[in-house]
Amino acid sequence: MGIDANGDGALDGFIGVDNSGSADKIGIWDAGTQANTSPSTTSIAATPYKSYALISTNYNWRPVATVADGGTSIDIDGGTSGTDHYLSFSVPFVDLVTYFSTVKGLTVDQNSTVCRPSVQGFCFLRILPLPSPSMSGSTPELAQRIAEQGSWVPQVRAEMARVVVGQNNLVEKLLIGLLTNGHVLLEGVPGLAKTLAVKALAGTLSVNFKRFQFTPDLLPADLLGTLIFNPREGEFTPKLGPIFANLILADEVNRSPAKVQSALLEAMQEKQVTLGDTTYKLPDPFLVLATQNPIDQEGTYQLPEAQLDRFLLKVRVDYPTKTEERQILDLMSTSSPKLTTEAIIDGTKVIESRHLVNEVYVDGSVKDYIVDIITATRQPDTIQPGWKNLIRAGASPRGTINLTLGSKALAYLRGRAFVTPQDIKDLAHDILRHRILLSYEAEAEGVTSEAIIDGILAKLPVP
Amino acid sequence: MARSQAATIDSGSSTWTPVLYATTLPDPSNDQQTGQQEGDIVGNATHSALLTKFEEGTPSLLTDGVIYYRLHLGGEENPPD
Repeated sequence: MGIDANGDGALDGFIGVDNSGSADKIGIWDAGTQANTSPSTTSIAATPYKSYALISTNYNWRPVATVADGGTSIDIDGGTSGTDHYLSFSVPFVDLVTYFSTVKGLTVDQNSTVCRPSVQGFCFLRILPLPSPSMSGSTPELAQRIAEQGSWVPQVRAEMARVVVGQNNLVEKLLIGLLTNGHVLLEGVPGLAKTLAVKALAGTLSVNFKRFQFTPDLLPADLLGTLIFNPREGEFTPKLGPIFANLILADEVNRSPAKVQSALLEAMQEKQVTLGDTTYKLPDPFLVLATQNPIDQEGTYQLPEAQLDRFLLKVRVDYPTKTEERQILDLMSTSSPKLTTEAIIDGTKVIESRHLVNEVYVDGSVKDYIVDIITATRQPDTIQPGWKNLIRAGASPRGTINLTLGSKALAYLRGRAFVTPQDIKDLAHDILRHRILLSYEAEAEGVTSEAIIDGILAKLPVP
Repeated sequence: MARSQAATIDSGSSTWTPVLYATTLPDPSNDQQTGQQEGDIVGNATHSALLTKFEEGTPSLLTDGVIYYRLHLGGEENPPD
């Protein structure tokens, strides 16, 4: 059986009984390269992640004809091998969870996979022989268009992976920003490839790219442009600033004072700049990717919460894994590492993709789930009675809009024409972490917005 | 208190949960992929092709316990183990 543990429509592993060798065994398998495929796009690894010898407590055959099953012999398809039989087998649940979390890197969906019948009333891994008709809508034609038009996605990922080792989450979130016309704030300690990832993304796009290093003495006019007096003509003429580009990297955005941040963020919101009496539209696509460092706060100007809300995503960039660290060593330990990427798509293709993202279907039950999550950030005591005084302000309606839009983009990146609840869960932290304002009590108790979001996702019923 | 696993795996299907997806999982494609009926998963509107159950371990632990799967197959095992 194929198992889709996170509900993204792709099989994450297989569980079953292997009778192909000399000794039958129960096992958990990863996807692999063998020909034994089901569905045809996914194959099963030759070696199981874990296998179990057959014993009477984990493996059993019995006819479907006993009193306990209704007392009637059953032969559904009228075969010649006698009546139907049940094949039953079992595995320790912790092995499945460990497999999904350590091998597949999945956050285990507790509402679909954690087995506590006494609490949740059900217990089985989410198995997807077919997408739910009610959740997928009637979208085969759109799915086909996404499959064809979105062929650039794996190409861009592969091109970026040549330069940026690991950081798949970061790359995915940058692509979501690109597809939703939403700005992204990257936060992480120095040296985690934040700037490199943005430059690598810019390299894969045939668009105009500009980078600003934000410094304490930067002025708004340095970004936006200004009016210059022309003595020959006796009038002021506009000198457009470097912000008139498709992709902007605002490096260390919190190192400039508020007036520069405001100038940038106004432009982000309005997609236009006014110089004197004239308003100039910014180019399309226009995307700002800003970075900031969570430590080393001396000489920085923290972005106000109202300004943070204008970022679609606030992405926490983590350290690479040990394996990735080794790959970085191999790739980058030279005085002239290759840090450039080849252009894969242009701005027109990006805009086409955005149109498709807008068409991605969101079922009514999924929309309700989004609203439930946002509402819970404003009324946290409905989730956990003790949380009432921990949150000063919850997510704004902009959070609702962005969570929906971002989830559509995530579905598109995963080659799907509809949004699943797991898409919402996968994006909730990046959409909400900068939109939940904690109280002094929360800070005193060491409660973080991450913990609040985790609690909301764990408690709210998933459609 | 959890029952013994031997009793659990051989228990009647009324104690198992049919796996539902929109409707009861029917005979998948009415297929005969292996050419052997004991390898053919079958089912219909009243008999689910797949059932599952969970033997809870320590209630306070989320991932403790054993998960069981039961497949409804078109024939008996041949040769039986």
